[in-house]
Amino acid sequence: MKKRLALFALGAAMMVGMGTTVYAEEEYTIALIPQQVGIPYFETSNVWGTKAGEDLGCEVIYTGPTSGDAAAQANIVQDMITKGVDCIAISPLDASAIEPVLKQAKEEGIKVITWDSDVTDTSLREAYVNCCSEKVLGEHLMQRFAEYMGEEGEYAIITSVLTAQNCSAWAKYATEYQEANYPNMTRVAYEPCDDDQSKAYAITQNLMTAYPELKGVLGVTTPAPPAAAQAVGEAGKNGEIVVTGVVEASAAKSYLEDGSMQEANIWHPGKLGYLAVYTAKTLLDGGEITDGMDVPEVGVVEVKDDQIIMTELLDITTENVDDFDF
Amino acid sequence: MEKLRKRFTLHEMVLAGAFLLIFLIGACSNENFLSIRNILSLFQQMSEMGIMAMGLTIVIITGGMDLSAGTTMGLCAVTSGLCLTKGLGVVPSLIISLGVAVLCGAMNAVLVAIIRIPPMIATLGTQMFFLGAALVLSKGNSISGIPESFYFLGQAKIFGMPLQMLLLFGLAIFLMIMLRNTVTGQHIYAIGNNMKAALFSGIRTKHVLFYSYIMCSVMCCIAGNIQVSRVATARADMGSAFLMTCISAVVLGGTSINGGNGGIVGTVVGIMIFAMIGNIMNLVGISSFWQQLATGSILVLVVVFNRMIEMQKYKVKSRKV
Repeated sequence: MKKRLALFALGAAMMVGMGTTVYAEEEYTIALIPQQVGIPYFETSNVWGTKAGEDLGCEVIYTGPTSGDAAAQANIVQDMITKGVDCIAISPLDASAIEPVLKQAKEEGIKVITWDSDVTDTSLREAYVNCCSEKVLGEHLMQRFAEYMGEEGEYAIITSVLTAQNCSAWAKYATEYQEANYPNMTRVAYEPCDDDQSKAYAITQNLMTAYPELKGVLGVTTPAPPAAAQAVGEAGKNGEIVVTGVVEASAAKSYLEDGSMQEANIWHPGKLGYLAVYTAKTLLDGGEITDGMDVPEVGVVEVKDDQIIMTELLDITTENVDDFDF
Repeated sequence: MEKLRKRFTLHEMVLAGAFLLIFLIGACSNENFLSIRNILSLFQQMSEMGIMAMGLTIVIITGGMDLSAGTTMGLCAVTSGLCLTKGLGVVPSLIISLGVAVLCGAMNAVLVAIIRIPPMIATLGTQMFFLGAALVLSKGNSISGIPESFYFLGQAKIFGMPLQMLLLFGLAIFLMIMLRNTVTGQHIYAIGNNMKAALFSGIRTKHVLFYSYIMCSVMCCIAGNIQVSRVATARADMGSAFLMTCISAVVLGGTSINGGNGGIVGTVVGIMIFAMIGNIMNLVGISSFWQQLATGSILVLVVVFNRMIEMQKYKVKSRKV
C-alpha cells in the first residue's frame, strides 16, 4: 500500500509540476525550430535567440526534433500551429518534407521565416535569414588564408561535393579574390571530399605527395580543415603547410592548439539565432529589415530580395577558441 | 469495483488510469489541447506510429521480434517514392511498395521460422539490410516531387477527419477481430505461449510465423506510405526513429515481450499516451529533452506497477495453497 501511495504521490507531483508551468503574457510568441536539439551549433542559436526574445519583449519557444527525423520536425510545426504562435522561424531538416505543414501555417496566417537553411518553395516563407553572403565569406576566407601563406606559394582547396551550391560559391569567390589580389599564389588543386572527413584526410596526404611545394590547404566545408590539419600534423609539417577554412570552434580546437591548423573562419550560429528572432519580431511589427541596417548584437546585415544575410564573420585562433561553445 | 475487476484485468485499469491522468494534465495545462483541431492533428501524427506498433504487436505475441520494422518502413517509403516520381500511377506504386513489404516480411520469416535464427538476431541483420537497400535506391537523398495525386493518403480529410486516422481505426478493428475471433489469431497466441506445444497440437507454426511477419511488414509499408504522402517526401531513414517508441508502446500496452498474451487495444492506447505526452509538451512549450524523460518515466512506472500487481497476485495464491 505504501508503495502504491508513493506512486500516486509521484504521479500527482508530476501533474502539479506540469500544470503550474505558467508563462507570463507577452506580446508575440515566436517558435524557433532548429534542425535538431542538443547539437552545440543549434544550442548556441538557442541561447542567443532566447536572449533576443528577452531584449525585444517577445516569448521565444525553442523546440525541435531530438534526432534527425524530418517527420518529427513536421509534427512539431503542426503543434506550434495548434498552439497559435505568431511566427515560426525554422531551419528545415529537409527542404521539401516540411512544405505541407508550412503551407498549413501560412493558411492559418502564421508568419513563416527560415534561417540557417531554406525550403525549396520559397513562396512559403517571408524571409530567409542567411548565415553569410557567399561573396563575403569566400573573400574573407582567402584574405585570412593568404595572410598565413605570406601571399605566395601553391595551395589547394578542398570542397564538399562539386554540386554543393554554397561551398562551390565560396571556393569560386576565394579563387577569384586570390587571382585579383595575390598574383604570387597558385591554386594547384580543387578537390571534393564528399563531406567525408576520412576522404579529406586521404586527399590532403595525396596532395602533399603530388605537390611537394604545397604551402597551404583551404577547406571550404566543415569536415575538411580538421582532416587536412590531421594529415599535415602527422606528416610533421605543422606551420610549413597552412591550414584554414570553414569549421566550427569545437571541431577546430585540438588542431588549433597543436599548431596544425592556423585559423577557423565561420559565422556565429548564436548571432544567426538572434537575427532570426529579430527578423521575426520586425516582420510581426509590420516593419522591414533594410540593406545595410545595423542590427543590435548582430552587426550590419545585407538584404537581397527576401534574404537577410549576416556579414560579420568570426576568426577563431588559439587565442579565442575557448570563448565559443559550438 | 468487483464488477470492474471481472470485466477488465488490473493491467488494463492501470493503463486506462495512466491515459486519463495524462489526458487530464493536457486538458489543464493548455486550452488548445482539447480543441477538435488539436485532437485530429494528434491522431494524424500518431497514426503512422500506431499502425507500425500494431504490426509489431502481432509479431511480439508470437514470442518474436521485428527490429527491422523501422527500416522496412523506410524501404517501402523509398520504393513508392521512386515509383511515383518515375511517373508510375498511384495504384501501381502502392502495389509495388506492398510487394516489397511482403518480400521483407517473408525474408524475416524464412530466417526465423525455417532457418530458426533467434528473431532478435535475424531481424537485426535484416534491419541493416533494408536500410542499406533503401539508401542505395535513394542514393541517400530525400526524394521530393511526389505528385499531388498521392497526397490523399496522408493529407486528405473525410468528414473533417484525417484519412490516416480512419485507416488506423479500421486496421485496429480488423486486427482485433483477426486475433480474437479467427483460428489464425488463436494460433498466434498459442505459438507465443508455447511453440513446442503448438507444434505438437498440429498447428502449422511455420505458416503462422510467415503470416505474422508479413503482416507486420505490410503494416510498416502502410505507415511508410502515409508518411510519404503526409510530408510529400520519401527518405531512407523514415521510420528508423519509430522502432523503439513502438516497442515501448507495445510493452506499455500490456503485450508480454515473451509472447502469448496482449492485444491491439493496449498498443493503441500506449501509442496515444506517447503521442499525447509529446503534444502536451509542445503546446506548453517544454523542451523536447523533457519529452524523453516523461515518456521514459511513464513506461517505467507502468511496468513496475504491473510487476507489483503480478507479485501480489502470486502471494495471495500461494497463501491459499
